[in-house]
Amino acid sequence: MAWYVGRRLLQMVPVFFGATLLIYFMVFALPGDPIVALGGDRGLNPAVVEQLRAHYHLDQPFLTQYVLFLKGLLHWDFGTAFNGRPVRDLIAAAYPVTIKLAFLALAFEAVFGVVVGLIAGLRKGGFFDATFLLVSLAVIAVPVFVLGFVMQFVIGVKLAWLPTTVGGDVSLRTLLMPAIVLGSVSFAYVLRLTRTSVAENMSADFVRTATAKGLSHSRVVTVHVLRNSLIPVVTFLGADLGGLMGGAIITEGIFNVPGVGQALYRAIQQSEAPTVVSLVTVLVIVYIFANLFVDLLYAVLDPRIRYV
Amino acid sequence: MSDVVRPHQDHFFAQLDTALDAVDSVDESAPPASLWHDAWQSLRTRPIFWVSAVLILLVIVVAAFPRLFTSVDPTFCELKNSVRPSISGHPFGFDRQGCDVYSRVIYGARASVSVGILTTLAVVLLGGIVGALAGFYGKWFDSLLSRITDIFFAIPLVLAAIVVMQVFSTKRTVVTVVLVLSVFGWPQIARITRGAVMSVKNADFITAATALGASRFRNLVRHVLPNAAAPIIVTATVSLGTFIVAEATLSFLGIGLPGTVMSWGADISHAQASIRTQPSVLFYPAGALALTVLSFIMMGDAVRDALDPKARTR
Amino acid sequence: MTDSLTTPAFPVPQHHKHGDAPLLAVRDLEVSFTTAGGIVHAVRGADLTIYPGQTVAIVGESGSGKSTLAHAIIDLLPGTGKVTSGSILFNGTEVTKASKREIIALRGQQIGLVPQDPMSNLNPVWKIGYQVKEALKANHVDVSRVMRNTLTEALITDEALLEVGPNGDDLYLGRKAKKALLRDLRTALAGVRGVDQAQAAVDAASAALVVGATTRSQVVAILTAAGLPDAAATVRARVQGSDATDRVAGLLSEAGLVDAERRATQYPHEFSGGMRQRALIAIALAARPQLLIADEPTSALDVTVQRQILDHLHGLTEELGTAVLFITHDLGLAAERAEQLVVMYRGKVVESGPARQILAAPRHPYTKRLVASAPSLASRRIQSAKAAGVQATELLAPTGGDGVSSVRAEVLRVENLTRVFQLRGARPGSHTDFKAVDDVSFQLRAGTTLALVGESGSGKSTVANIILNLLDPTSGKVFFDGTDMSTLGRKDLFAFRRRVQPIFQNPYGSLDPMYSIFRTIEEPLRTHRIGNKASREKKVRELLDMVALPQATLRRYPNELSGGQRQRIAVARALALEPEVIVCDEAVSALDVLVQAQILTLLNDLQAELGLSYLFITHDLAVVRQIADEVCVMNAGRIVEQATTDEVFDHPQQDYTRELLEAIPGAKLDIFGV
Repeated sequence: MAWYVGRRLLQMVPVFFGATLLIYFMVFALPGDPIVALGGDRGLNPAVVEQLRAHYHLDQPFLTQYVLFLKGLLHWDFGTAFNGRPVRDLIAAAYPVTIKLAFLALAFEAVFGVVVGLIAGLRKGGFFDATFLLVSLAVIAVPVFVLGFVMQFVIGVKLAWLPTTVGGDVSLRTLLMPAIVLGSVSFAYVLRLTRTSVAENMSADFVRTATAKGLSHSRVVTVHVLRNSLIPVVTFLGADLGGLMGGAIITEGIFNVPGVGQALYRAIQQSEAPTVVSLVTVLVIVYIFANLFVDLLYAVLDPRIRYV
Repeated sequence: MSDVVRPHQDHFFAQLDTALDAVDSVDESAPPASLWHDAWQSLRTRPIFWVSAVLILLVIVVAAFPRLFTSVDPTFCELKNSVRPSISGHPFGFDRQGCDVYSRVIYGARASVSVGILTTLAVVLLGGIVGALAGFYGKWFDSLLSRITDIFFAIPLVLAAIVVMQVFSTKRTVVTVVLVLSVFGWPQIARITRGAVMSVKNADFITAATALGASRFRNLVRHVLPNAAAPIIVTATVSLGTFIVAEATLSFLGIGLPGTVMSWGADISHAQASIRTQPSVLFYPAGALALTVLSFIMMGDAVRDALDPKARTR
Repeated sequence: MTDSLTTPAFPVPQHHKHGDAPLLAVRDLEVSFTTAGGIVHAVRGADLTIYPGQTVAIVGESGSGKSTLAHAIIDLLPGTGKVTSGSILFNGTEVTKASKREIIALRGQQIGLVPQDPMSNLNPVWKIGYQVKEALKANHVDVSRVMRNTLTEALITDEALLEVGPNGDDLYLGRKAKKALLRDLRTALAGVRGVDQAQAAVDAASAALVVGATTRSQVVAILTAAGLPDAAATVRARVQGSDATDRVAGLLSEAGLVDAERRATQYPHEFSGGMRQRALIAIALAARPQLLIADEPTSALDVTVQRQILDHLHGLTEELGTAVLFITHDLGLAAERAEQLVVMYRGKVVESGPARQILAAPRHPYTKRLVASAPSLASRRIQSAKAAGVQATELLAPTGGDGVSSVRAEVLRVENLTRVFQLRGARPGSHTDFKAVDDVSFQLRAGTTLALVGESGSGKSTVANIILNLLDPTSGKVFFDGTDMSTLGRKDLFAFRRRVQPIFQNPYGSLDPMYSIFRTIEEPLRTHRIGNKASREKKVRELLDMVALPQATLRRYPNELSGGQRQRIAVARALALEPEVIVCDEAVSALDVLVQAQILTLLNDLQAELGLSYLFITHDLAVVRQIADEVCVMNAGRIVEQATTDEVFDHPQQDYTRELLEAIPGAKLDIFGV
């Protein structure tokens, strides 16, 4: 087990450096000057441009810039936004909101996805199964922003059940609708994954043996079918947590949630390259760690992996 | 052992009412059936396949020849028509700028479909090659390619696309969007291909071909890839749908295709403002987008079921 | 009292051993499946009767409906399977009309099931002990027996209780009590005997006391024998019954698992196939059912393990008085293990009755065919005939070997072949060396068959892969026609491929499903650029004739053919390049008996016709008897015995060879005594 963890950690190292380098490259080394873009159409005073260049080390060779950036990361320094505010503060303010939103979305997709998927898998080919299979396809096909608008309009405006936007009031009530929208696509995937997995396990030999032992149907389903089917589902959910935190840009924009996604969206719109790099880097780190966590979770859930 | 012979336990043998057939006789009556033939036979009985096939065909025709479906110029907009409901000749009504919604929906298909198809082709090519080489040759080569795949996989598709498209702010075209989506979209296909190739490469028929004298590369091309194709086709079909969504998302954010190119995503973004007064302005482009994506995903689903390896062995 | 040491370590419930009323009566049973191609009648009008304590075997090949019939008895038909008519009467319950609740009560508690494939029948995510415990709980087994014992104690005096004997007093020894008792014994012996002697006595007692299986009165006997003074009183004070964990260990011990207490805390993937099957037996017998259905319980295991497990299962069910319904494809095995045989063919019972009668005088043509083809019986027949001094040539399939094989020219020789694999250790970078093949030498003479026999892990397939040049040896040499293969360049090696061709075990895996039969057989010709399109097609047609398949097969695909037909295609493909040596790696092991016999005949005919040499790799000695001229027995990478087939069968030199020979089913049958 310890070696398994060690190997995973080791594999993470090149991925971390590769991914951050890639992001850094995309923002700072691709054609197009982020500093000039900052000025917009009016253009900046050349002296100010030079000053900013020096401040963001843009006058240095690319790799040096990257190393300096990494050094900053080590000291928990994510740089400074163009308005002078440390990006660290921005992250500290926005991240708790995004984490709340992501976990709420995760809870939604996990509970509904597994329950519906289990029922569909047990009655494969039936009416319930066919209906929810179609629902899941539709949910995957409708883009998140369309779903967001429609729900905002129907539930928020027409029915007025839930507030349409979050704004400064971050609470369970205001986050509920954005969380459902955010988790909708993953809900469909969890449903389908659970369904396939349950249907597969239902015809597994060990399930037949469990039945032959004299176990009741409910016990066979919970102890043998569901337990085994949850392995791929839980690993998906773990990986999804990282995705949800990064994928919240659209949802946070629509519902005006003061989270990382919105901060990132604003930074992109205002062409604040350093802020973009820092925020994306944090998201990627979260994503990589979520994947590591999934690998470890997998080892806990499936005893066969532990001894590999 | 007991030698007691009980009732019903004496030596019984059936009458020869069923003649014994020759052991292992070949059924010569049915026509030959390859696996693809079998898959097709199973596919054609599925309504979901026909529905999605017709829809996909329709969308492609619309994208290629929009003039067949409307004679109204989508860029001809008059503010006096702003958010007018449907009238004769303009079945979907007008949007905020006074443009004909139906015409814009028809003309918007091209951007989505071309981005979807081109990106999928690029991704299958790039991801397929990387995955096949990694899976087939294994060892350090696999480790190297897998780590590179991991790096690209670690950056979520839309996030990466947003960052890059922001940098490309002055040069947004269909090609840049396709390029960006391909560069960050290939890892999934690479992983699927790698897995499929690895599961096939140790099959007995590969060993048999090797023992017959076939070279490694010949094995990869002639035996491994055809047998690994099924999951790649399925994933590619479904990905096509997700790339269309990704393009729409970028256009929705205003960093996808330029304003001069008509696109469903951009129209949905514009419709945001008039959703309370006239939801249909949002509904039509969104519906067209969803239906297109749905048809590709349904197709992927149907093909997956038809190619299911468990259904293969008789 | 010392006698009870040798009695089985579990109580014998008072089942009526051979009653008059059948335990199970299946009458006119019809089972059908709904498939895309219509309704398939899997079982058609089958009858089956089992009396309490009796062992009945259903024999048939794949698709005969034997497993379906068995599954119908506990209502475990897969998918769309349904009983359409007929009756299944078990102990007064009509299974076909029983409610779900009644069925669940029946399963496990009255009818146990030992499934076919031990690898897939245990849930990989639960510990073995948990899965056994489940069977106890689900069937409401009174594990501690405390209730029953309290009742007994209320009725009789202390002294009388211990005299009740192994059957009446079934309070099991718990693991804590065992520790305490051994401590007591050690203290008691400390002053009396020498240190070594005392230790030996404690160890012996420790081995004899099985947690969860040894009953209180047996404990008394064991400890008395070990020298514990006043054992009865001590035991009465210490042994207060067992908990579920103890009983799980006891059940696993009964099923023949060593070190059961520790094993129960492990996961299935830490078990070998044989150990898993023992765990499954423990599960099936946990609630002491009256009927045990054993569905090909050992066909996935090595022959020697197979024999051990079947012997153990037999002993156990005999002691418990459990009736057994044994399902197998091997007529020899069935006849050896069961009193009654039921032969099934295409969903019908074609013949049934006492095993010996059926074997001695089969009446139905199908049974006759089966009796004639079963390799285990055939090899037994040859042995019996030889023992009786009868010339057995007509019993042997005509092998190319003519008894003067030593004068034939050598075509293939391996010398001191060794292959070491590096197994990756738990830590990165660490590895252990594993000698899969260890100093193997043999030679194959032209036109003869050499069998390489061994169990899984013996290294026989590694040898085959080295000879096929799919694997390089770590050391040692392969000579083909006197040429050292390791000295050959790429081009020569390519040419060498033509002369040695393989046939693999799995007829479903060795043909590319994407290739038509024509392309499959043509491929070697194309790879070696032989002939043009027309001549290649002619050649392919000739080859099809050679393996006795109709020309119509050409345009078909592997998934349309049966296992036997596919194996013929594999033979045709191997013959395409007109090789001199064919390496048959378990080439007939996956086939049904009758098909197996046909392929063996085909191979023999081709050998006679084309002068081929076969290197025949197999785990099945029975098949070897039918086809091989010479035999090399392999064990743990080494050749342990090497001689002509007759010598190996008549005068085996090594214990391992004898063990393998005894493992051929039907060893105890003497029906062919001429």
